[in-house]
Amino acid sequence: MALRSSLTISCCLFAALVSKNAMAQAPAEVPKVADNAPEAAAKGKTDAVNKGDSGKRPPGWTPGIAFGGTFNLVDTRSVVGTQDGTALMLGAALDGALEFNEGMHEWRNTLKAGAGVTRTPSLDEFVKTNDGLAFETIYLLHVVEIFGPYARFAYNTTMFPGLDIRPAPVNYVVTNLDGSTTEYLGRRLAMTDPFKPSTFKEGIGAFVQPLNTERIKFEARAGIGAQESLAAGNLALNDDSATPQIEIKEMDDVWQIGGEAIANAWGFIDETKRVSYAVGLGVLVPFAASDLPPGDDRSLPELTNVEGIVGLNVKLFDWASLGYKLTVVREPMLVDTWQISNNLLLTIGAAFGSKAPEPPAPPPCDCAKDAKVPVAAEGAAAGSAEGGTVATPPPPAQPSTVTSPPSPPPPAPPPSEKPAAPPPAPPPNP
Amino acid sequence: MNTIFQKALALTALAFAATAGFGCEDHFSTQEAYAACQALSDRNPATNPLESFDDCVACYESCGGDCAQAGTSPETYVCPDELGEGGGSSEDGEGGGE
Repeated sequence: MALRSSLTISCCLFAALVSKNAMAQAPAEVPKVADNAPEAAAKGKTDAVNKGDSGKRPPGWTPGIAFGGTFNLVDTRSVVGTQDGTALMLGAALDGALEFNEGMHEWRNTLKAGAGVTRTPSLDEFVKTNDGLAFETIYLLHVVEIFGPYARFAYNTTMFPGLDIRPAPVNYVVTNLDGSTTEYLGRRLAMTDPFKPSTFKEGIGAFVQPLNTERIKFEARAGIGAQESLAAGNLALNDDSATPQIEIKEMDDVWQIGGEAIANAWGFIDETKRVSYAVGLGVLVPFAASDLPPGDDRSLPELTNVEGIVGLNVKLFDWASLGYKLTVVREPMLVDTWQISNNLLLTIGAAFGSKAPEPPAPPPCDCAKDAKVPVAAEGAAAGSAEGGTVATPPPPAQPSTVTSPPSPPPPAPPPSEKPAAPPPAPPPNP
Repeated sequence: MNTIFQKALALTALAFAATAGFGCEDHFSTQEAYAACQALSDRNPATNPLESFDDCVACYESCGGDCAQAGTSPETYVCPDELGEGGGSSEDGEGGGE
C-alpha cells in the first residue's frame, strides 16, 4: 500500500528582544518603557527604537539582545514527483548590542552569532549552511556632536569545522603553501577548523555623523586600519570552473595595515517603523602586508579588502519578522574571490522590555467614561507590563468597579502607534 | 518576564547545541579517510590493494569509524547497515582508523 505522507513544519522559534534595562540593571526589576522613555510610550514607540526626535544619543547603557531560531522539517513517502526522505533544516542566531553614551563619549559593542545545518534526502547527512561569530567594539569621541575621533576593534570567525561536502566523489587538488599540490578523491574534504579563520580588525581615525534622524542615520569613518587573519593550515575553495577538478587553496596567517574608509547608514523606511534597513560599505587599502606566497606578485592595491552589507527587516506582526541580509566580502589575501552570502530569516518570537510591543495607547480622554473602567479592563490597558507601572497614563483611581457599568475595552492603537520593528543595528564594520 | 527571557535564552542555547550536535555526525573527512585507509594498506598491503583504496575512502567518509572490512580478497569495505546485522566482520578487528 502506497504510503503518502507529507509533513511540513516550518517555524522559526523564539526570538527575544531584550531592552536595555533588562540587562543593564539586572537583577532589579526590568523597568518599563515609560520609566526610560515617556516620550516613547506616549508615541507608541519602544525606547530602543526611539532615541528622541532630535536624534540625541540616549545617555547611559543601552543593551539589547535578540534570539532567533529556525526549524523546518519535510518528510515525504511515495509522493509523485518528490524524492522520498526527510529534509531538515535547523538553525539558531544571537544578536546582542551594548551601547554607552555619556556626554561626548559613545561606546558601541555588538556580538553576533549564527549557525545552521541542513539535511536533505539527496545528501543524507547534515551540511553546515550558516556559521559565524562576530564581535565589535568601537569608541567614538564626539568632540562636536557629529564629528570626532574613533577607535575600534573587531573579531570575526566561525564556530564549527568547515567541510566541502558533495553528493559524489570529486577530485580535489589542494595547492599547498610551498607550491606543491595534494590530490584527493573524495566528497567530504575538511576545509577549516573551528574558529578558523579568525580575523582581527583594528582601526583609528575620525568619524562624521552628518545625518541622525529616524529615517536615516549616516556615519562615515576614515583612518588607519589593520587586519590580521589566523588561517594557517586551513583550506579555502578556489575553484576554476573551467577545469574538471576542484581547486583548493591552503591559507596562511596574513596581516595588513592601510587606510580604511567605512560608511554606514541605517534607519526606518516607514513612519510606523515596521520596515528597517541597514547598509554599509568599507574598504581597507593596504600600504603594508605580510609576504605573499611564492609566485604571487599581486600589488598592494590589488590586496584591498572590501566588505559590503545590505539588510532589510520587515515586522510582519508583533510576533513575527522577516529579515534579509546580503553580505559581500573580498579578502584577497585569504582567497581572491568575492564571498557572497544571502540570508533570509523568518522569525517568530516574543519581545521583552523596552523592545517589546508598546502598551496599548491610552483610551480617548473621555474621562467621565474612563473613570469607570473595570479592573479587568484596566489590566488590559496595562498590557503585558508587570507590576502595573505601565507606559499608559493610569486611569483615574476608582475605589471600586462593582457599581460601575462595564466599559468597553480600550480601543486598539491607531496604525501610527503599532509596535515598532526592531531597531536596525549599525552595519558591521568591514 | 525574566522567566520568559530565561526560557528563550535556554531554547536558543538548545538550538545552538542541536545545530552543533546534528552537524557532528559520525563521518570521516576525506583527509581522515585517506589516513585510515593508508594505515590499513600499509599494515596489510596484500588484502588492501590500491585498487580498493577509493572504496575504502568512500566507506570511511560515509560511516566513519563504523566502516568495516568484509573479509574478502581483495578487501571490500562496508558500512554496518550494509551488513544487515550491524557490526562488521573485520578480520583483524579493524573498526576504522580511529
